[in-house]
Amino acid sequence: MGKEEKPLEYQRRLRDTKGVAQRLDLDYLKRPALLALLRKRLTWVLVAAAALACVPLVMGVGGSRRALSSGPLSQAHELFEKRCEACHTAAFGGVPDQACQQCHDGAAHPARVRGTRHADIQKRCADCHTEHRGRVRLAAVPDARCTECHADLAAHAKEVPQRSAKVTAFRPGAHPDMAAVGGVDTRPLKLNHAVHMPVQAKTIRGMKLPMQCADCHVAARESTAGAMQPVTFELHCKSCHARELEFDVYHVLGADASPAPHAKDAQAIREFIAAAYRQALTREPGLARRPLGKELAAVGSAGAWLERVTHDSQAYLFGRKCGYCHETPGDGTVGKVNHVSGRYAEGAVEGARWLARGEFAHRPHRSVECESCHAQARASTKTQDVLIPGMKACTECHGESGTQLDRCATCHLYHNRSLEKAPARRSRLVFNGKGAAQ
Amino acid sequence: MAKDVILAADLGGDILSADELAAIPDFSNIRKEIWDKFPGAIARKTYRSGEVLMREGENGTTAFYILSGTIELFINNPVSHVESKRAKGGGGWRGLTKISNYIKGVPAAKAGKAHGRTHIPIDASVDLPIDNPIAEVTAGDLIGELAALAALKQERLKRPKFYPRSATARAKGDVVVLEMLPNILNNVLFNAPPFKEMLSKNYRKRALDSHLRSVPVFANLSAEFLEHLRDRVELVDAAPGQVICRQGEIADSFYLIRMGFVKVSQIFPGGELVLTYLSRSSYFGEMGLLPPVFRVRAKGLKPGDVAETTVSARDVTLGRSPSKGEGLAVPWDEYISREHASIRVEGRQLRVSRMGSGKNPITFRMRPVETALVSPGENFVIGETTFEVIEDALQSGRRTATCTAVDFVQLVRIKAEDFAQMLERFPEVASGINEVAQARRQMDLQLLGRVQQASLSTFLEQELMQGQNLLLLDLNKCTRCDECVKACVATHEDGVTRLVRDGLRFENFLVATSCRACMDPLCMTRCPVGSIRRKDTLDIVIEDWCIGCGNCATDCPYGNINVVQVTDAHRKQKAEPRPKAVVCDLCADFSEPNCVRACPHDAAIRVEPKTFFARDLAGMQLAVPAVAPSTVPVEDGASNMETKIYSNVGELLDMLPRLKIVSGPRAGSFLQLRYPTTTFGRGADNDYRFADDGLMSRSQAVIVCEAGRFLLRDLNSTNGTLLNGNNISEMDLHPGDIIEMGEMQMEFVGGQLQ
Amino acid sequence: MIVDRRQTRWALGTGLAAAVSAGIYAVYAGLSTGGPRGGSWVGLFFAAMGSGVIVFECLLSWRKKYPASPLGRVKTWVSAHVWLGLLSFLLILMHAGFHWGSGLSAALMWLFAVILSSGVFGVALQNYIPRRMTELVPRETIYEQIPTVIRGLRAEADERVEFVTADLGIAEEEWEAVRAGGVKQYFDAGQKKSAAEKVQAVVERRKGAPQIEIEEGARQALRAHYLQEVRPYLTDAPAALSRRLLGTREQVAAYFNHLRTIMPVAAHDVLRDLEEIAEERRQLLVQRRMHLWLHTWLLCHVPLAFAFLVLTAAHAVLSLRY
Repeated sequence: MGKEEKPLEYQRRLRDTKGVAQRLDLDYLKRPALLALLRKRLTWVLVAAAALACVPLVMGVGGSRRALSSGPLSQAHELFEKRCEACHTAAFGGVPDQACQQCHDGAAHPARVRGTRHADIQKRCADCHTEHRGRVRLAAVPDARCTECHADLAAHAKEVPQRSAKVTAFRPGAHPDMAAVGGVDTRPLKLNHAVHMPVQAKTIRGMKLPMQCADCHVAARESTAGAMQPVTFELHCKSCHARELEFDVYHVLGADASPAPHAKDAQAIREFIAAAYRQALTREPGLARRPLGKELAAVGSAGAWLERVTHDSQAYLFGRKCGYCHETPGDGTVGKVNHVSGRYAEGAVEGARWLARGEFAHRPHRSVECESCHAQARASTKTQDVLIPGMKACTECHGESGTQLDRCATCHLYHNRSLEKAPARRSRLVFNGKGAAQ
Repeated sequence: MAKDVILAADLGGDILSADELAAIPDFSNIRKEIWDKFPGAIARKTYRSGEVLMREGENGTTAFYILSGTIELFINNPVSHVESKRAKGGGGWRGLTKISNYIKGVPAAKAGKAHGRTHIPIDASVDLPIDNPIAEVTAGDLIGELAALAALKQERLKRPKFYPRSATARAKGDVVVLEMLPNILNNVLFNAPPFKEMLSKNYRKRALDSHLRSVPVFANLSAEFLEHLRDRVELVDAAPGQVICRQGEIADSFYLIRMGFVKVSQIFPGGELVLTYLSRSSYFGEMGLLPPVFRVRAKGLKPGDVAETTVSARDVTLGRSPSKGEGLAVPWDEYISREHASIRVEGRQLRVSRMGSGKNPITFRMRPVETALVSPGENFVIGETTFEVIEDALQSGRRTATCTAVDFVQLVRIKAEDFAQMLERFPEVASGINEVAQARRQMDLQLLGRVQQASLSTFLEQELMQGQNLLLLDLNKCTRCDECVKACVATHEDGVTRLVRDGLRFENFLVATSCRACMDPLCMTRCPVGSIRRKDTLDIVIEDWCIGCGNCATDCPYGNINVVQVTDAHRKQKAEPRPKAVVCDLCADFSEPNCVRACPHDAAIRVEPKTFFARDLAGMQLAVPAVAPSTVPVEDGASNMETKIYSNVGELLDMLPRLKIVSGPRAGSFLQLRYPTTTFGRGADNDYRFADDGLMSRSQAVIVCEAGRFLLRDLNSTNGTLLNGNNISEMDLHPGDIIEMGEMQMEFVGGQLQ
Repeated sequence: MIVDRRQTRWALGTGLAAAVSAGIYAVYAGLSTGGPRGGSWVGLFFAAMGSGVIVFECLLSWRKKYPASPLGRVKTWVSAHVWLGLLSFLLILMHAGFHWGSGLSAALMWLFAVILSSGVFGVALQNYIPRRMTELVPRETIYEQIPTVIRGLRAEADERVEFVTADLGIAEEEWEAVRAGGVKQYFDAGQKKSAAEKVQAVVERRKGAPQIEIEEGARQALRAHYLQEVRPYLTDAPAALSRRLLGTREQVAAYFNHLRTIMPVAAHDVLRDLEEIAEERRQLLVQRRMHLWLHTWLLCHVPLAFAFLVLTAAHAVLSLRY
């Protein structure tokens, strides 16, 4: 350009609304914002990773499902840790009882629980035996599990026995006394504890009295709990009371006379007596010619003698001897004596215990004097006295008054152990591999 | 440079001499001197079939007069509205779509086109139908007239801005045209009545129908009535700045805009508010022509017995318990029957007539009558009740606003009697117009209400105050997450944001770059196709037929309009992206602007700046508390304290004239001066009240502002007012002057008032 | 979300809900045999509530996608997100009986704890940083636009320095972008060309000869200072030297004060503009740092949250299954 131009005018920087807007690129939204993009990608990556991580869980690859476990299993079940399906046989709804019963055979809860309007619910095993609680004994069910319902049984079940409607703890008022206490033993027997254990020591027929409890009440060796062996004539009474079976009223049999068997069958005893005399007569035919007892003349014929001796002996045994212990009309019939009997246990099977619902183990209590619990033992004169100690005897030491053994399960054995499966079956179920894992 | 382009452009083609021009039959009546004045301003051009005369969006300065042949006018098919997409989805999914649309907040599809228009106005004597925007013009038509005249106007204003072509013109067959420069066109149009007459005749003949019908409310006019109108309408021209009708005048005609822009404004004490700019196909003047609206107010003897009703088109029954829907119930008066009288509008008066069931006569002008014609302001009495008739001032037969031509404006004028006849014959037209009038009235009232609330005059010059709806981001809350912008993109189907999260700051607010719905929307004045307009509310919308010329974007002083390339996603074939201007429409389809709705941190707000800042900056308001020594506490609803609204934020504060209190109990405070007067005193009616100042009179002094100077006048105060130590009665103020009144000394800081 | 008085209701509501659930939990823990367990009915209730809240928390992203949704404003959602999020952790703790668990549940708990703490951290940041940013960065712009703005600043600075030094010999590549705020559109190729030519002419004149006359030495000094110190600062990754030179507001002021002492008055306008530009660039650096603080925690919060959601679903299904 030829002519001299005026220099361009320098304009100061100006910042105005429009200028600010015009320096920007309107398309920036179409380009991904770095942070947002990163966030989005990261989200997808992590979501995918999480989903991938879920795959083995859902498929149950290896022991991955252990990750789902809400806690370690109990010691006994430890080896199922990786095999969820051993117990979780059904989808949803928890572990069914059948799963437990593969190994354990226990009676279910005796009563159904009042559930919905339509059906009563059977308590499930898992309701009380909660797994995944760490290495605990599963059988040790906390009391609260029981009192959950038993604190107010009427709300949970129908036909509730009045006396046990509300059980909250092992203490008077919160727990009924043992049903046997104050009951009447109706066994047709004439047992007098007081005679056996007199306060003053004395000797009767060479026996030193008082006797010790353990003379008759012996712990059964096979019982882990130390349940008492039943008191039987053969084991416990006979040593002193064998005389009560001697029937030879005329002392004709001599020294080799054996007492009558303690048989339940009167006819057998009769035959035994008859046979004994017959045998003696065969051995010594002269017997028949001797006068009997304090009589002056002999009976006469051997046949008459035999008949007389037999008859009198029977009458003597049944009429005088049996009645020593048994209640009997004198004709040889005695009421059946169960090991456990009495009004309380009427109808109960033979061998049933006095404590129908509970279980008392004598063995752990062996350091305790018998009489500190069975306090009436020395005073009892009648068979009908039931010497089962009341709750009070327990709460002296246990319950809230003493040690912490206030557990329902201490006494109340819940399941019927007699139904447990044989060990062989149990082990097969566990170790036959994948079959069980399905 | 601009002058060269506009007035002496080389047109090419055959430059015609005056004689040649005079020989053209269409121009035969035009005086020869006119041609002589502008040599070389008209050229004859011949176009072959298919050749393009002008292209939409290009700047044009010339007009084409068609001598022979036919020209096709068209614009690219407008980007169709998003509704077409929303209507999709059928069968079993419809319900689901509905639900998901509801959840997503997709607005319900509109029943019809939102804009309700059938034609796009262009710079020719025809309009383009919106569905198929093609029209033809033939010999005797003038096209490009508006562009040429607008260019001339810009030229006169020394602003070399061009006016873009509003449509593409393509020759259909061989065409001979005269291309005219704006100067000669102007002269021909305004100095040669015969030519104009001819154009007007052409217009009446060809375009009036489509033009009238393009206005939605007139769409149903019968051909016969149009025929009737054809000769009765008048074409009126208005030069830029010319007032077409003035607020308060008696209304005598109805106007339809054929060309150009008309500014509708209302004057209120202290300023002028531009209500809207009307462009082609808009009409105005109907409000003054509609039947007047009266209010009848019943007053019983007891103070609580008052009832009121409006009477306009429909009759109103008056009675103790009128059964019909519209009635004036007067349950307290036992002398009035259940249905007593009917009230009806008759001309500019109300006709009250007793009905058969009415027992007692009507007392009017102290006389019992059967029927009476009551003028506004008069009473009539029935029984014990007085009925007052009041004319609704806004709804009387007067112009409610001033209409001024912004451009060269051509109007179609329909006389009042024809208009009344039309309303009578076409009830649907009447109801349509009534509806629009109602909406406009509502908006006017709303706008005026605002004006009356705030003293605007000061803010009108301030750019922020120019806005009526600002998008502000509270920067103390904003985490710059851009959710507002994303919301904006998601809201508009073209995927272009109307909102840029940047701009200048205002205290702790960012004034985001987004439409402010200005009081005086400068963007609207140069749209060649009339697609940018204000809706019935404040929001400004750009309709789909925008040709993307960018005039509005250039004109927007704040950079709030963007011209972007928009691809029409709804057309079958892949379309070329077209330029289109986009602007924030304030989310008119939604309950609130989505940027605000989407802000997770309560940072984005849409506010009316005047009220918003008035409230938020209350600490800087003009409250002068009675006891506070230096700081001005914010008091909510202090009734004895007048709080006028000023936004003395930032630089604005420094610009306004004010007084600084330099001594006395309030030392340190600033007092803002008002326009036109600011009064000081002990009384409650003062602008600044100093109730605890025992030395001050009830009315102490006033500062009057007139013509840029400030006058301090003492109002006969007991202790007098001192200026620079002298007791004065009236004196000019200069910056730095010390005023003493009561216990205070104040320094006049100066500043200017607009 | 800003913790202010408007959050009182939320806080109270959350506190109330927490108290109620704590009450329920206390009763339940007291009554339940064998301690609180996730699998019991109350435990499942807490689980359902907790996971419901967690799902709601994750729905926030979805809600943000549809700004116009009538389902409440986003800010309400965010408040709910924060407060319910806090509550949900409590609910989940109660679900777990305040045990951390093992395996998947422990992993979930850890995840939740991390997500929660990142969220709390985020809220804390959102309360602090915006204020700080408003204070420290008056010339901030949109984060994504920082490179664009820097490019603009660079071009502007070049242009301004060229007024003194004439051509700097730097050719910026053309940058085509849709400018916000409306730029003159040219439909006519010719018009566009002539407009471009006009601009080009001005550029050439500026580059051709110095427009502000100062002596040669000062010109060379400005040139050297600009090219070696200022201009490297106006790039996306400012050089270490410039960073040190113009690291703080005071340093910028000191640097340009120094330049002013060695430059003639005629160049001071340019220097002031340069100072403004450098200061703006410095602020953008601060903005970037703060923006990253404001938003990077989300990189931890959001992806983990969705992963957490997936794992929670797995946990829920598989736990109910077993």
